[in-house]
Amino acid sequence: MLPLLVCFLSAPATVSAWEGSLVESAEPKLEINMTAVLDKYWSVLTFFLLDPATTSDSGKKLSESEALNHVTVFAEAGALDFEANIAPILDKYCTSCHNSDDDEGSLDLESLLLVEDAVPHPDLWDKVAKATKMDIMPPPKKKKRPKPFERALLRGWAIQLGQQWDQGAMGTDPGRTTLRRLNRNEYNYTIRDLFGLSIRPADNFPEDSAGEAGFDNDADALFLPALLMENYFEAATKIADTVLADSRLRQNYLRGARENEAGARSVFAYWAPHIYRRHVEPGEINRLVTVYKAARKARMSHRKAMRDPLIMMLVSPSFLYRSELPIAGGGKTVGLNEFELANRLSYFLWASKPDLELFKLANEGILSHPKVLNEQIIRMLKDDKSRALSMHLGGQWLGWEKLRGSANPDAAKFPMFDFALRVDMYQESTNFFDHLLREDGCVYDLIDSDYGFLNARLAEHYGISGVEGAHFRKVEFNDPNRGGVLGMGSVLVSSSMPKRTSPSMRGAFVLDHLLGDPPLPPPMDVEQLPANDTSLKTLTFRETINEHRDNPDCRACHAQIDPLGFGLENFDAIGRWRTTQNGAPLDTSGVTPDGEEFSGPVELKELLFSRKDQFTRNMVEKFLSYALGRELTPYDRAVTRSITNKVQADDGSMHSLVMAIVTSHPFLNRQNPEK
Amino acid sequence: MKSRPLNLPRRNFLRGAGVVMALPFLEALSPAGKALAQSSKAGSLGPNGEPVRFATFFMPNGVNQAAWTPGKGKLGELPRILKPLNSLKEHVNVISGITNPGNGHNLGTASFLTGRSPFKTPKPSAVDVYNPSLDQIIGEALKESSVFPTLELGMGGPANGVNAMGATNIYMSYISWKNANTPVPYETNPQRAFDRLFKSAGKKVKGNQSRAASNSSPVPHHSVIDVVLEDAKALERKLGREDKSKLDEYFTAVREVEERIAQQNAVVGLNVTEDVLKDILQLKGDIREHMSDQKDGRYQSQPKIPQREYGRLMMDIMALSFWSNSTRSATMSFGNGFQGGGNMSFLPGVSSAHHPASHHGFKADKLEEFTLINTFYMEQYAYLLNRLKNMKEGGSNVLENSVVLFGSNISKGQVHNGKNIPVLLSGNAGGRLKTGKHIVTKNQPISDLHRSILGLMNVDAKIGNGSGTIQGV
Repeated sequence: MLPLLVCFLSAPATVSAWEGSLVESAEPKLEINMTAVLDKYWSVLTFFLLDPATTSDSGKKLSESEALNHVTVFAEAGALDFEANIAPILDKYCTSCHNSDDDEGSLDLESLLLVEDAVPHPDLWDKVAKATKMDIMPPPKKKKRPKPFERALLRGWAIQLGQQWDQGAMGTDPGRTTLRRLNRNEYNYTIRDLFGLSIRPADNFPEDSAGEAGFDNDADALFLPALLMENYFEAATKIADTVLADSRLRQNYLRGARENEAGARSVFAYWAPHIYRRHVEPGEINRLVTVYKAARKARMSHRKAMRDPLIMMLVSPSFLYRSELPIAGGGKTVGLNEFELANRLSYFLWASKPDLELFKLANEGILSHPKVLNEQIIRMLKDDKSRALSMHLGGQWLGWEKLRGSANPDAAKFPMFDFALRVDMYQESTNFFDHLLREDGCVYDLIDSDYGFLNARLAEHYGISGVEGAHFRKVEFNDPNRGGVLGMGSVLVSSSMPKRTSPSMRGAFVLDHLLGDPPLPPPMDVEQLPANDTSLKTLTFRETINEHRDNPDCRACHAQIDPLGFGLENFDAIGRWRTTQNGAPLDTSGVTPDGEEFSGPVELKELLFSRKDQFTRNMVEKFLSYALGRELTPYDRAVTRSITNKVQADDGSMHSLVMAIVTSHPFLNRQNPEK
Repeated sequence: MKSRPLNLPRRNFLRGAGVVMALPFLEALSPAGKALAQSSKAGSLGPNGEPVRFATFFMPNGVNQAAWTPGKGKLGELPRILKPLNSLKEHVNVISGITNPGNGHNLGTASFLTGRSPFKTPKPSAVDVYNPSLDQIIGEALKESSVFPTLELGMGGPANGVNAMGATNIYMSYISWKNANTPVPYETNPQRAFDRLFKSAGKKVKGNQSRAASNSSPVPHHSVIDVVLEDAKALERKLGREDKSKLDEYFTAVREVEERIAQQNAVVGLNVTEDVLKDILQLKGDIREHMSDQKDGRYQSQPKIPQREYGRLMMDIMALSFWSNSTRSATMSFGNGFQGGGNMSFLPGVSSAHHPASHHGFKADKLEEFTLINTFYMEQYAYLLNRLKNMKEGGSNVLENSVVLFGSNISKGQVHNGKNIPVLLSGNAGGRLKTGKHIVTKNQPISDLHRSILGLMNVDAKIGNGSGTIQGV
C-alpha cells in the first residue's frame, strides 16, 4: 500500500479528479503526523479512490453517515486541503447560485474559494455544514447534486473550521462596541435611578430596532433620528420641570447648596458625573455654569436658573450615549478602566446606570478585583433592578416580549385572553427567570422544572388547583408537562397563530431560540396551512400538516421542525392543556431526522436534555451578545465554547453563567479604536 | 374661502399667551393661510398657489392580482379589491408593470421608496440603501415651505433580527430613509403625532403659569443648545473614528430639530381657517376617545386601538397636516414589510394574520381571505382620499393638490418578488397629474415612478439608478 500512497502524495497538482488531490492535499500537513493519519484512514481513502460514490471496502454501499464519520475524523485531523479538495466541490455545485451577483440566500460562496477568504467565516460554513447534513442543497429538484462523500467532505471541513475557532486557534479579539445610545428601557431606568422618577418618558420614543441577535441594545442598530432628538429635548424638559416642581425632588437636585454661582457649580459637579456616568472635566462644568450665569444675568432666580443646565445634561451625548474612548499608545486591545467596567456591568445586569456603590468601588479602583467583582455581581443579581434582565434579555430571547406587542390571539375565538391574562403570562415568565437570577437557579430549569410562578387566574387557566389570590408565588407542579418555558403561556401564545396552534412555529421556536439552530428559510412560493384548525373537514390537523410536508422542497426542513412542535400540541393556542382536537384524540408523537422518538411535552423535554450542550451554548451566546451590546464575531466562539463548558461543569448554575460572562475576555477588554 | 397672511410670529404668541390652552396658536391666529410664492424651493403649486403635497400609503405583502388589475385605459368597472375606490376613480391611476428592485419582504420594503435594492447584510452597522427615500428627498427640497419637512406615521413596530435570507430586518422595518445609512422611524402613537403637529408641547407647571408659558417650547433656547453642542464637540474630539461617525447622527438630529423649530416660528403659509380648526378639534376628541384606555407601558409597547380606527386616526392626522400646510411630504406604513397589520381575524371571513394569509397557494378559500384583507386596505386608502377630497382650499381641494401613492413591497404575496407590484397614483398634483386611467407599462423600475413623482412635485433631484420616467404620469 505504501508505494501507492507515496505515488499519490507526489502526484502533480494537475490531477483533476478531486479524489487524487485528497491525497495530494495531505502534503503540507504532514508535520502533524500524516503517516499515522493516513494509516488510520487508509481504508477510507481506498474506497474513495476506487469507487467513491457507491461502495465501501466491504463492497457495501457507503452510507452518508459512514462517509461523514470517516471524512469528519479525517478532516479533524487536519488532512484536508481547502483549495484542492473543498473549493472545487463548492464551485461545482454551489456557486452558480450562491455568487456575488445572484447572492442567493445572502450566501456568496464564490468569494470563499481561497482558503484565506474561507477561514474567517465559520458562520457561513455552519450553514454549509447544515445544508450538507440535511442534503437540501442544491435543492432536491436539481439534477446535479453532490455525492455523499462530497457532502461529507464539505461538512467535515466546515466542522473542522468551527472547531479551530472554538479552540481559540485563530487568536483573540475582544471586539468593538460602537458608541452606544441608551435604548428606551435604559433611558427609563437611568432616569428612574438618577432622580427617583417613575414617569418612564421613553415609552413615548419610537421603538428601537434590534440587531442580529434580536436584542434592542445592539449599538449598531440604535440610530438617532430627528424625531427621537425632539423626544429627548421634550423628555429632558419634562424631567427638569417635574424635578423642580416637587419639593422633595427639587431638594434632592439642588442638594441644599448655596444659591449662588459657587453653589450651582457644586450641584453640577455632583450631578454631571452621575448623569454622564464617568469622571467629568472642568470644562464641562464650566459650560453648565455659563448657562446658569446667563440666566441669573437675565434676572432669573437661582432655582429657575438651575433648570436649563439640567436639561443640558440630559440632552448631552454624554448622557444619551455610552462611550469607551481610545487610549493613545494603548495598543490594539485595552482593558476596561474601572468606570467603563462599572457601566458595562450595570447596563448588562440592570439596564441602568451604576449605583453609588459601584461608583465608589470604581473610584477606589477595586471593582475589577475578582473577589469584589463576584460580590458585586451577586449583589446586583439579588437587587430588584435585575428584573430588567428577565424582561429584556429573557423576553427578547424567549419570546415574552411579544406579549407586549405582536402576539394577539383572535379575540372572538379566545375571549378569555384579556389584558389581565396577558400580563399574568408576562409576569409568570419574568418571575421565573428572575428566580433563576436571584437564587442562583439551574439554567436547565428553563427546559424543565417542577415548579413555576402562578396566581389564581393563571393557575385556573392552566387547570391547576389550589392557587388563591392575584399575587404570584412559587407553585410546585404535580404535572410534569407544565414545567420549563415550553409550558409557559408566553411562549405558547407567541408561537401560535391567531386561531390555532402552529407546530411549525413552535418547532422553529425550539430550534432557533432554545437550540440556536434556526431553520433554513422556506422556499419563496411556500404555501400556508389553513388558518383555523376547526375548518378542516376530512383530515385531522396532523394529517394536513403531514400532507403539506410531502412536498420535497418542504420535507427536509419540516422533518426537522414539525416533530418538535407536535410534542407541544397538548397546549392550545393560548396555553391551555388539551388531549383532543376537534373531538379526536391528539397525536403528540414525533420522530426527529436522527430517529429519536418522543411523544408529548415530557418526552420532548427529555430530548432537549439530551442536547444540553447545544442549549447551553445558545444561551451563552444570547447572554454574551446582550451583555456586549453587539453581534458576536468568530473570535467570540472560543469564549462561548469555554463558558458553555464552565456552565455545564457547574451543573447549570445561573450565577456561574453570569460571572463567566462578566469575567470573559470580550467583557473586560475592548479594541482600542483608531482616532 | 378668504385667507390672509399670518401677522403674529408663533413663538412670540406662545410666550405672551399665559396658560397653555388647547391649540393656542390656531385659535389666536385663525383664520389665516398664505399662498406660497412661486420659487424654485416651493415645488409644485396649485392653481391659487396652494402647495402640492406628496403622501405614501404603504401596505406590505402584495395583492391578489386577479382581483386587482382593471382593464386598460380609462377606468371603468373596477375589480373587486379596487371597488372601494369607485366614487373616487376620476382621481386615481392604476399603474401596472412596476418592478420593485429589492426582492421580498425585507429588501423590497427599503427599496420601495429608495428605488434601489439595498446592500444585503446581516449587520445593522453596514446597512446601505444608497440614497435617501423619495419622501425624504421631497421633504428636504421643499422644507422652506412647510413646518415639518416630512411626517412619518405608522402602525406596528420594527422587525428585529435577521431575515431568512440573511439581511438585517432593519430593511424590513422602514420605508423612509434619511440617507443611505439611516432609517427614519414612524410615529405609532396618534396622540403624540397630533401633539407634535398641532399643539405646543409646553406643560403647565403647577402654581406658576407664567413660567410654564415662557418655557413652553419643547426645545431649549438656541443659546443653550449651542453650549450642548460644545459639549458634544468636546466628546467628539476624544472619540475613535467609527464612533465619530456614529455621533454624526447626533449633530444631524440636533440641527434638524433646530431648523424645524426655527421654521415653526417663521410660520410660512400655515392654513388655519375655521374649517381646519374644526377638523383638528374633532380629531383631538377622536384621539382622546381611543387613547383613554391605554395600558401600562411595561406591558404594552404600542397603542391598542382597533385596526380600522387606528389607521383612520393616523390618516386623519396626515390629511390635516396637509390641509393645515404643516407638511408637504408624509408616509403612512401599515406595519413593517412582513407583519403588516398582524392579526387580521377581526375582518369577517378572515381567520389569519396578514402575512400567513398572503401565502395562499392560489387555493380559492385562502385567496379569498387574502382578497378580503387587500380590500380592507383599499377601504382605508379610499378613506384617506375622501378626507383629502373633502378638504377645500381655494377653488379646489387637497386631493387635487396632492400626489398620493399607494404601493406594496411585493407583488402577489405567494411569490416574493417585486415584479409588477400593485401601484396607485392618486390626486392631481395641482393639475399636473391626469387621473382616471390604468397605465400599463412593462418591467419599469420603481425609480422611474419616483422620478415621475419628483417631476410632479417640481423637485429637481436624483434617485435610484437610471433616468427613466413613466409615460402617462
